[in-house]
Amino acid sequence: MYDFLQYLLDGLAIGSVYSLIAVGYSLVFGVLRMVNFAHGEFFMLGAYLFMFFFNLKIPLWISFVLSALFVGMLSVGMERFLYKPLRKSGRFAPLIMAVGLSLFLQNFVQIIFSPNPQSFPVSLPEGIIQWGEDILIRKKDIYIFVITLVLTFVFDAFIRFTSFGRAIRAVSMQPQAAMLVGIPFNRIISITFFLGAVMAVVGGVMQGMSTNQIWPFMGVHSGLKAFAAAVLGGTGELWGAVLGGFFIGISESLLVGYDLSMYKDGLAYLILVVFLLYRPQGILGKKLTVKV
Amino acid sequence: MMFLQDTYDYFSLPLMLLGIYSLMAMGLQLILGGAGLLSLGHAIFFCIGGYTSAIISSSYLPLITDSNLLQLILSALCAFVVSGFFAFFMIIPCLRLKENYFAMATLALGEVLSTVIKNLDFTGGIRGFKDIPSLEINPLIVGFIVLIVYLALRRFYKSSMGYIIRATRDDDIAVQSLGISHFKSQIIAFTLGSAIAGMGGGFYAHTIQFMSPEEGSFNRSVEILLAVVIGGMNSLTGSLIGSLVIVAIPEILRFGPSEIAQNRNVFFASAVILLMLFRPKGLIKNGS
Repeated sequence: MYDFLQYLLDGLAIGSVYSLIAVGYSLVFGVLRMVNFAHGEFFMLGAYLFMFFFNLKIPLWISFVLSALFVGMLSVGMERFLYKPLRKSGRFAPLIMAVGLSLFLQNFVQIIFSPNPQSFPVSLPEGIIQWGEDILIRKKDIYIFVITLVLTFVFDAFIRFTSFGRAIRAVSMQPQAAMLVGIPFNRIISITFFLGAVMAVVGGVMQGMSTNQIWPFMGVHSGLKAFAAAVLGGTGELWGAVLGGFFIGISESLLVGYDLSMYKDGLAYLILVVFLLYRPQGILGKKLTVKV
Repeated sequence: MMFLQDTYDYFSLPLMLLGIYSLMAMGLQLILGGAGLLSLGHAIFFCIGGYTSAIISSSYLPLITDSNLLQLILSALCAFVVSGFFAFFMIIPCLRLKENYFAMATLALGEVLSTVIKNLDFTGGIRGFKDIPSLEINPLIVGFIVLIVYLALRRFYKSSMGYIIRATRDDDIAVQSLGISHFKSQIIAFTLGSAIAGMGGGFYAHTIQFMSPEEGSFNRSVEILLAVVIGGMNSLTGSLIGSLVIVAIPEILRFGPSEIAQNRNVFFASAVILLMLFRPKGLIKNGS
């Protein structure tokens, strides 16, 4: 029983990272009905850019803001110049474009930095809290979990109460009608991409600070699991994506704990297939009229 | 004569790889360009075919016959049938999903199967399957099979099922309204395409004499997707040209500075991005 609780708590940190990436997938799907396959790369780029700025002796917070702005702008640019021209050209063009972009960004980072994992310059405060007799909690994990929850609440409030948030919801419900009432469709899409990318950057930086290691393929590795999380929670649902992320993180940690770590990487994909086939609307999603 | 022998030795591995990639690319072209289904898990059938050949050629085939050629043919046939069998059972539930979701489901199923292969005993697990007999495979045999598959697929596209497959790609509702099952044609295209990739995997196992679960990874599926997209996804001949690009460019780059050779994927990825922007139908316009 203590083991179980321990693995559960261990899973929360990695689950938080998946959640932060999944939110972006979910939002972009909500407004464009498009799978932005390259979304995981924002997570990787965020970590690398943060490392780059920080190594230039720029203070921590400013490096973070700079990398978030930079990746955010990149995602907006990608949408404007690479995805938007494809909206009318064929069913697969956007997805193939996204696969190409994902490959490009991974290899570009490999050239600029190195194909090998690099050690991350900053770390979250070390330390372990003992709870009861057997359960040990890393302080790092608590930081990550709390930051994720706070960010998601802020984000949720943004979507619920601001005019931009209302516009995002309107576009994801009914793009045509939203345009008719004068919502600037393209600007809302850009904002959505920007916000999704910023959330992924937070995830990437926290991942780096927690494991002290980053590598060029971390984006596609965690990104696909985050996509599974987004589908599991119900694409388009903010809290669904967060729940899905935690679910996948905790299940992986349980598999590792009970000596099944060889199956760890397949699990997220198994969940993805099962949910796509038998409950495509996810845990929280409402029945969609658009067939998946 | 020595010179000729050296040249032959030098080119035989790249040539066989070219043949193997062409088989995989033609299979994916049938699925993507023919039936209009995007499979992101194509490499897993390649991997299944490879393991099938590896297992039967190292334990069972020597019991049946001594002839290398006959063993090779039997091994290729088994790879074809077994990977087709897996494809058949994978596609049926997935056909409920549309477009992008279908693609993500094939990606996920591929990764699940590759995890399973990593954990099985008779596949050698994560260390891979070693010492697969080469059965004296050579570029001529592979080239001959590529030619046969190419001609057969051309013929298949002209048959009534070939027309139904492409009609389903363009407008599945119109096909259904004519009383023709669109599921049947999609299942046939996917199974056949995957089985051809599986045969390629069988040849690969004999060529490299080693199979690892990584052969079925998403990266390889993307590589084949690049070959098909670069050649133009609506053209069967294009997928041969695409494989030539994917196999030949790294070979040519080996003579240049090593930084470029290591980073060939950047060029392929840029090619795909530019193609999608300016020539989404591929370099070769019509065909098939």
